[in-house]
Amino acid sequence: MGAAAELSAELGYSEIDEALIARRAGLPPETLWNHFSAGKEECMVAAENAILLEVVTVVSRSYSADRSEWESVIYGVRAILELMAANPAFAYLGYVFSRQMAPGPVREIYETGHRMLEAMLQRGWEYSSSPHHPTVAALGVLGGTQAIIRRELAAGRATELPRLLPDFVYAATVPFLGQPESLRLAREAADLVQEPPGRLRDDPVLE
Amino acid sequence: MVSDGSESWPSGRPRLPRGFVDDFKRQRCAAAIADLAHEGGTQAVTTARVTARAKMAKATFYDLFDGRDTAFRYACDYGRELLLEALHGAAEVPGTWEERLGRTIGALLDAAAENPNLAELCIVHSKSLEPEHGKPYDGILTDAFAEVLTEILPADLEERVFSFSELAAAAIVSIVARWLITEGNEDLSELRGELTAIVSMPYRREHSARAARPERPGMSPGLLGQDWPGPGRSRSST
Repeated sequence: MGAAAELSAELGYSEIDEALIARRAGLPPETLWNHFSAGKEECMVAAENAILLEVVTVVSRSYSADRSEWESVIYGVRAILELMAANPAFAYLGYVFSRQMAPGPVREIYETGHRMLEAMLQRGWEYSSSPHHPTVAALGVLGGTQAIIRRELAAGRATELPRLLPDFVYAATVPFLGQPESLRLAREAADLVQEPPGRLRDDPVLE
Repeated sequence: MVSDGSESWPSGRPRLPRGFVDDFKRQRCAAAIADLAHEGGTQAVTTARVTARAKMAKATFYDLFDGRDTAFRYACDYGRELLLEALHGAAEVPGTWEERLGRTIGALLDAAAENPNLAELCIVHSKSLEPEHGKPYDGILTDAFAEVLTEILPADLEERVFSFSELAAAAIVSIVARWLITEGNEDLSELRGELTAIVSMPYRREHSARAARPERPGMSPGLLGQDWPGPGRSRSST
C-alpha cells in the first residue's frame, strides 16, 4: 500500500501498474496479486481505507472527558497534521490523489472522511452560540484548510504541516466561537506545536 | 461630391475576423465539454461527443485544438476566466472594504449560478488535470481569488495574517463546489451575506483582538499578529 501511495504521488495513477508497485515494495508480483486480486485499484482502495482508519483512530483518541469540545477538536486537528507529516505519501493519497483521477471507490472513502470531519465541526457548533449555518461554516472551514494542505503537499512540505495548527484552529473556530475565544484556542494550539509530537497510536497501520 | 454607391459596401455578407470566429467556436466547444462533464463526469468527455454536442465537424475541432486534452484544458481555463472576470469587475467598484468584499463574493456566486456547468468544470472537474508548476490546477482559481481578497481586506491586518485570504478563498470556492455538485436547491446568492460575515469577522473585531492580546515579547507575529509563531514563511514563498 505504501509503495502504491508513493508511486501514485510520484507518477500519477494512470502511469503505474501492478509490476511497478510490486518492484517498489520489493515483492514478487504474484505476492501482490495474492493480496489484491483485482490489482492496483484494490490496492489503492486498501491504502485509502488504511489512512481513513488512522484518521478516525487518532481523532477519536483526541476526545477525552478532561477536554472541552473545542480542545478535543484542536487535538484532533493536531493528530491529523502529525499523521500526514509522518506519512507524506499517504497524505498525498488522501488529500490530492483521491480528489483527482482516483477510481470511484477511493473517492467515496475520501468523502466518508470529509463527512466525519464535517460532523466533528458541527458537533462543536452545538457547544457554541454561532449565528452561522453550521453546514456552510463547516464546509468552508474544511474546504479552506484542505486546500492549504493540498498546496503544502504539492510543494513537498508535508513535514511542516503541524506548524499550520494555530492558523487552522483559528480558521476552524472563528465562525463558531467569535474572535476572542478563537484567539485563545489558537494560542493553546501554538503551545502544542512547541511540544514533541504526540504518540499517534500503539499499532500504526501505515508503517 | 455625392457617391454613386458603388464603393460604399462590399458585396455579400460582411466577414467577421478569423480570430473572433475561432474564439466563438472554441467557446462553443467549452460549453459542450462542460455539459458533458456535468452529465457524465470527465470520462464522458470524448472528442466524438464534444463535436456532436457542439454541432461541429471533427476537422474544425482539430483546427482549433490539438486534441481532447487540449480542448478540456481550454474549457477549464475559459470557465475560470469567466469567474475571475466577474470577481475583478466587482472588486474594482469603489466602496468600503466590507462593501467591496460583499460585492466580490456576490459576483463569484452569481457568475457560478449563471454558468453552473462551466463553473463546475473549472472548480470540480479540473481536479483531474495534472498540477501546473507544482500547484494543483484548481488552486489557480483559489489563488487568484485570494489575491483579490488580499487587495480588498484591510492591509494593516492582512500583512500579519498567514494564509487567511487563501483559506477564505478556498473556503468559499469549496462551498460553491459543493453547491454545484449537489445542484443545491437554495439560491446560491443567498449565501453572500453569511460568507461575507464569516470572512470579515476577524477584521471587524480587530480592536477587541488587540485588546485581548497578552504581551509576550520575543516571539514572531503569526496569524492576526498574535503571539504564536507563524509557519515561518512569508506569503510570497508559499
